[in-house]
Amino acid sequence: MAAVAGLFTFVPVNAQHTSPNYEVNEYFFGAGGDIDVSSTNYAARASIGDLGVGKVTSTNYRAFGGFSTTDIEVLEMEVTAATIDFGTLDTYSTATGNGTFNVRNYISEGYTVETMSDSLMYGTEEIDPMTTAAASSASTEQFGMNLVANTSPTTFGAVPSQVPDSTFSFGAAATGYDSPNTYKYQKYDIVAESAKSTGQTDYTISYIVNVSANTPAGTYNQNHNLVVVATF
Amino acid sequence: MLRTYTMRRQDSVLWALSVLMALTALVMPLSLSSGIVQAAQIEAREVTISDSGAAATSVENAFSFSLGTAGEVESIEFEYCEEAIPLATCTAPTGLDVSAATYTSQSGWDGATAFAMDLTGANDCIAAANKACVTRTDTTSETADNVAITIDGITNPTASETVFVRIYTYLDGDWDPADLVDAGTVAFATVNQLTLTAKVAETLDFCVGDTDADSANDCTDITGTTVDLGILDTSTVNESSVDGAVGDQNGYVMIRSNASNGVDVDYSGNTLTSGANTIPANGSESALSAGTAGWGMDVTSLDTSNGSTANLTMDGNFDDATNGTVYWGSTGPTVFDDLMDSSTVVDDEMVILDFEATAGIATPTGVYTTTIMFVGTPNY
Repeated sequence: MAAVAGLFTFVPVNAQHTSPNYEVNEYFFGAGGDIDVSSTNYAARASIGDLGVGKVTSTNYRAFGGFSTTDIEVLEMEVTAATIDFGTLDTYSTATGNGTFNVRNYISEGYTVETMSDSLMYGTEEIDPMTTAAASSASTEQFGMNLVANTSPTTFGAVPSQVPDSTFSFGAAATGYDSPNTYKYQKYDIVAESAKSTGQTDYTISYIVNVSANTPAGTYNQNHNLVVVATF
Repeated sequence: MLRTYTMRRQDSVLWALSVLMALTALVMPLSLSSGIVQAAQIEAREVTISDSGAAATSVENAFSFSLGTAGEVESIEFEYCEEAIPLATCTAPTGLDVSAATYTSQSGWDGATAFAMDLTGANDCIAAANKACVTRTDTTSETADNVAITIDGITNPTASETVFVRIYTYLDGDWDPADLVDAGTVAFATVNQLTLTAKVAETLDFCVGDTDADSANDCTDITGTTVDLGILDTSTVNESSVDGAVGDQNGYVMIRSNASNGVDVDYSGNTLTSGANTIPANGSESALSAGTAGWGMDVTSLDTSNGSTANLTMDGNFDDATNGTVYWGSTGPTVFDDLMDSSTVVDDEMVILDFEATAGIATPTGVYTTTIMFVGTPNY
């Protein structure tokens, strides 16, 4: 049995094994599996008898185990509703609007979504951003947003939606942007985040705009620049 | 050093091979080796871009990460690809351009020498539209703590997509593959931008009167059209607010506008006239002298208590805070003179006007009148 001792020399490699005709990406010791099980309407990566699945960590090591676990970082972000026209503002009512985007991020330590734009601007004039979270107040110059469902100043918005459900996806509105009927806007704020690897989360942005009698006349615009930062 | 292990099967033949290998491992040595250079993994790695718009220019990329290996780091390669795996095939994102990138800043490095962008590169890092090369001379051994480096002047891909940036660190400053130390991939996404538009209409509330109800604190308070200077004689200088008919004999001019460039308020009118006779206007800001015919207008005060701004400025001929000096600068209805103006919005700011007149010994009797026109012009 001397041949048994020390036979398994498992060399951790980042590169793949190839020959002219074959390629071995990784090794699986188990009862079986397939990374491409598909039919007309479904596709799956399946395994039987995995020794371990999911993230495991120690002080100096981290691993994502599992036969069907991808080894490729995934980051996807899509802005799905792109144009919002608040119309002509007045001092008696609040203008509202919604935008939508989604994020998916896998094999990571999570992500943040940051807002990188100034407030609504007309030349050098800006609609005062709500740098402290507060309620909407008509006739007070305000620009703010949140990522939840609201009932004031009107019923609009939605909570983050997990695709397909909350056992797969974990994105959430960030602090300051997570309270119904309370709005905030500060450039460079984190507005959405996930603390771990996650499937797709669909976000709905709820915007409010109020003006005062002193708000300079003009057409105000904002190209709302959202940046996702994923930590791997 | 942190290593990431993943396991996956490539195809059915190789799945069977792995099973066979497991079954035969008891009787055969199993040795796995790779002919590809190994690199430790960069950890806790991310990139923050300053602009996610497709085709955006002058974009900043701020990288932060923990080194996988303690030791010297004298050169770094940033390779921008549509694929994530380091050292594998790299497809450059269409439109992305780092060839004019500049070094901006760094932090957390034990070696104090700053990296510099090398727009030529060498060895593994030949500078290209999708490859940025930074280098320095510093043999300080780096710990594995968080480090950061920021480069600027990058053009984003022309389409909305995910871009993977493969980071490679090297011992020496020339990106020699034999000196490859660590590798890791970060990602950013270019996306559509949400375009928000809102219109604020121009506003102007401008009113003139002889009475301020001082109730609503806006133009609805201002009424009336007549200011009475009373009966003039040579022994005194009459003031409308004192010597006029019973009641308030001041004039009031109030204005509110959201004109971002401010407002201008002018006035015009003839001198006091009775038929063919006139009382001459005071053409320089000065006090009248009883018995020397003359008249003029004075700004008693500028009232900013009705609104939320204090932006109006009196013309120099009306800015004397001391009552008793008057001025009149118009010679007729079409000859406008400046009363006051602002450089930004005004909210129900109001001037209170007083008028003075005196008769000379030769001033013919009569009822002397004039109609004063005020014009408010907003500059949006």
